[in-house]
Amino acid sequence: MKTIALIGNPNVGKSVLFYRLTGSYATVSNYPGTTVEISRGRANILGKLYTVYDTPGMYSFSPFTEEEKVTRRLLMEQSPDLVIHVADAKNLPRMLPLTIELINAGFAVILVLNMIDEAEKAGVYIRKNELARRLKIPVLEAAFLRGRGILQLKKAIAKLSSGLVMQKAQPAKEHYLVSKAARCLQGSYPFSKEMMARLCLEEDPEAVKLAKQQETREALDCLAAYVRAAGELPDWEMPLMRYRQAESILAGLYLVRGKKKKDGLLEKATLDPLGGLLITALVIYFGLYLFVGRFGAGVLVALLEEKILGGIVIPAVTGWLEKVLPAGALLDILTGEFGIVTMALRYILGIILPVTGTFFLVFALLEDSGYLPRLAFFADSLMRRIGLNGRAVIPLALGFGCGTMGVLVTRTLESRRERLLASFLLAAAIPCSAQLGLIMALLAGEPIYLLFWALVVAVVFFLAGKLLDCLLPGSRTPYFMELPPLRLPGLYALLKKTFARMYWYLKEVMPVFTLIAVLLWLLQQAKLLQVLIFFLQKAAASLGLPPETAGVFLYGFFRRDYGAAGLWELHRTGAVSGSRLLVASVVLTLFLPCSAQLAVMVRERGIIAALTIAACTALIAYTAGFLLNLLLRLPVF
Amino acid sequence: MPALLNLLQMPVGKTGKIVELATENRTILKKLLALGIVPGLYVTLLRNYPGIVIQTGFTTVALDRTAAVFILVCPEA
Repeated sequence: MKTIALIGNPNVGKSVLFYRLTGSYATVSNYPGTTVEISRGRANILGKLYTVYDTPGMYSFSPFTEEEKVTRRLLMEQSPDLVIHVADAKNLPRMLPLTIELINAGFAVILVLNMIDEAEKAGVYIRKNELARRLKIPVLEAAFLRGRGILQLKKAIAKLSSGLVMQKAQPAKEHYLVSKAARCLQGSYPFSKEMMARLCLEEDPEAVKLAKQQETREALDCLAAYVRAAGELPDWEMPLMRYRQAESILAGLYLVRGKKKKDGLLEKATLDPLGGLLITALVIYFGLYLFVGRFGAGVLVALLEEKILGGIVIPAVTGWLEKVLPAGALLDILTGEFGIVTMALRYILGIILPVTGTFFLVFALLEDSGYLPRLAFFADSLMRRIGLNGRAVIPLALGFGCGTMGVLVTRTLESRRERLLASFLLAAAIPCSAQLGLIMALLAGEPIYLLFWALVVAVVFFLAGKLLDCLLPGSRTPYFMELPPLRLPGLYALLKKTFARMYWYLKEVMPVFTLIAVLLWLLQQAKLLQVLIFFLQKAAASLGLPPETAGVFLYGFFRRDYGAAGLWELHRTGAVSGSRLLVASVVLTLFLPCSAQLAVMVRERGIIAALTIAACTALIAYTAGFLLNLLLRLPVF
Repeated sequence: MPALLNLLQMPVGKTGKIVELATENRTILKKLLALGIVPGLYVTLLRNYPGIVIQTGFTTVALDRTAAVFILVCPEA
C-alpha cells in the first residue's frame, strides 16, 4: 500500500484533511501544536487504498521542538511515497520554503493552498497554475473545513500514484557548500544526499548519526571539511538563501488587492492585559464555575447519579444480576462494595462523565476560537517567574481537562528543562476537570472555602515552580508564538470534538476502573485492604480528617477523578463538611498524579523523573494538608 | 537614511523593513528564520506591552523582549 504524509506548518488544517481522507477524527483546534503525535489512518482514494499519516506541524527540516522532531522522524523512517504539503494560502510566502525543502529532500509533493476562502476574503490572489509550472508539482486550492478541493486533491493523488514510482520535481539549487558536501556521501538515505549533506552541515544530531553509520572514514573526513567551512558562514546564510529562492519563485504570483483590514476590537482586547484579564475572569466564572461546576457537577450529576443511575438503572441491573448469577466472587466483583456496577459504572457515568463532558465543551470553544495562544501571550510574564515561557500555558491549560493530555502536549516546549518543569506542575498543582468541577460543586456552598482552595493550589503552583526553577540547571528559552486569527467556532465541530474526547476518555478509564474493582476485591479477600485502610486512616487523622476519607485517597492512587467522585459521595452522606472538606479537597488536588498520567510521564520523561515527581507531589500534598489543618484550627477561623 | 531601531525602540503602529538579525545566539536565530522573520521583510509593531506583537503579511507573531531586541529595523518614513 502506498503511503501519504500530510506535512505543513502548525495550524494550517492537516488534521481536517486527515479526517476528510480517512474518516478518523484527529483533534482539530485553532492553535499551533494541537497535534503532537502521528495519527495513522487508511483512505480509499478513487478505489485505491492508501495509508495516510497526520503529523504535528513543522516549520522546516531543522526542527527545534519535540513535535517537529516527531514529524521529521516520520519522514526519515517511513519514507512516504507522497507528501501533501498543506499550506495556509494567505501566508504562502512564509510557507513556500518548506515546499522547496520537501522537493529537495526527494519527495513527491503536492502543494495544497488551504483556507483559500480566508485568503480570498483578505484580497489575496494566487496564480496557482503558473506556480505549479514553476515548481513542477501539482498545486491545488482548497478549504478543507468547508469540504472544498477534496475531490481535486483525490484526483491529483490518483494521477500521481498511477505510475510505479511517483514522479518527482526537479530540486532547486542548493548552497554551493551543500552541493559539494553531498558529493562526499555514498550511502543510501531516506532523504536526498543534498538534504542529508545540509543537515550534516547544520550538525543535526540525527543526520550525523545516520551518516556515521553509512559512510566510510574518507567520506566522513571529506564531509568534515565542509562542516568546518559551513561553520565559518553566518548562521542565516543558508536559510536566507532558501527564502530568496521561494521569493523568486513566487515573484508576481502572489497578489494582495485592496487595503488590509484593521484588527477588530476583540482582537485588540485579547492582547491587552486588562482586556485579557477581563476575558479570563469571564471564562472562569461563566465557563468553569457556572457551566462546569454548577451545571455539570451540580445539576447533571444530581440528575444522572441520583435519579437515573442510582434510582432506576443500578437497582434494576443489580437485582437482575443477583437473580441470574450464583452468589460468589463474580457477583461480588460486579455488585459488591467496590463492584463494577455498583461503584465503577455509577462513578464514571453518573459523576465523572457529566463533569468532564461539560469541561471538554467549554475547552473546545476556547481552543477553536484561538483564545489559548493569546492567553499564553499575556501569561508569559507570569510564567517567566517560574522558568517557563508563555508556550507552557497550553499544556498546563490542557491539564485542566486531563493531566494525561497535558503531559503529552509538553512536547510543544523547546527544552528538556521546560518539559520537566511543566510535567511536574501538571502532576502537582493542576487539578483535572473531574476534580475541578466536583470540588467547585462541593465548595460552592461556602465560597470562602472555594477561594481558599484556589489560593492554596495557586501558592503551591508558584512555590513548586519557583523552587524547581532554582534547582534545575539551565534557563528559560525565549518566547515565540504565532497568534492565529480569532475565529468563530462552528457548533458541529465543537460537538464532534467534545464527543470524540468523551469517547477517548471513556475508553481510557473503563478498563482502569474494572481493574480497580477487581484489585480492591482481591485486597479485601486477602485482608490487605483493611491494613492499607488502617494506615491511610492514620494519615487522614493526622490531617484532622475522618476515617472514611481513607477510601477516597485509596481511589486517588489509581485515578484522580475516582478520588474526586469518592469525595463527592462522602460529602453527600455527610461524612465530611466545612473545613475538613476544604482540607480533603486540597490534599486530593495536590495528590499523586493518577496511574494514566504516571504512565505517560514514564514514557515521555523516563521512569526516574516520573517516580521522583510522584514522590514529591505526595509529600507536597501531605505537607500542605497538614499546615492547612493547623491553620484552620486557629481560633480566628 | 533613517537610523536603525530595534523592535523595542520602534513606536507602536509603525512599519519598518528588517535589516539585520543581530544575534550570535543560534537558537534564537534559527527560530526567527523558521517563523519567516528574515531580513528584507516588512513588519508592523502592533504592541509592545506586555510582550512584543508584530505583524508581517497575514501572520501575527508574539515574542518576548530578549528576542525582539535583536531585530533591527529601518522604519518607513
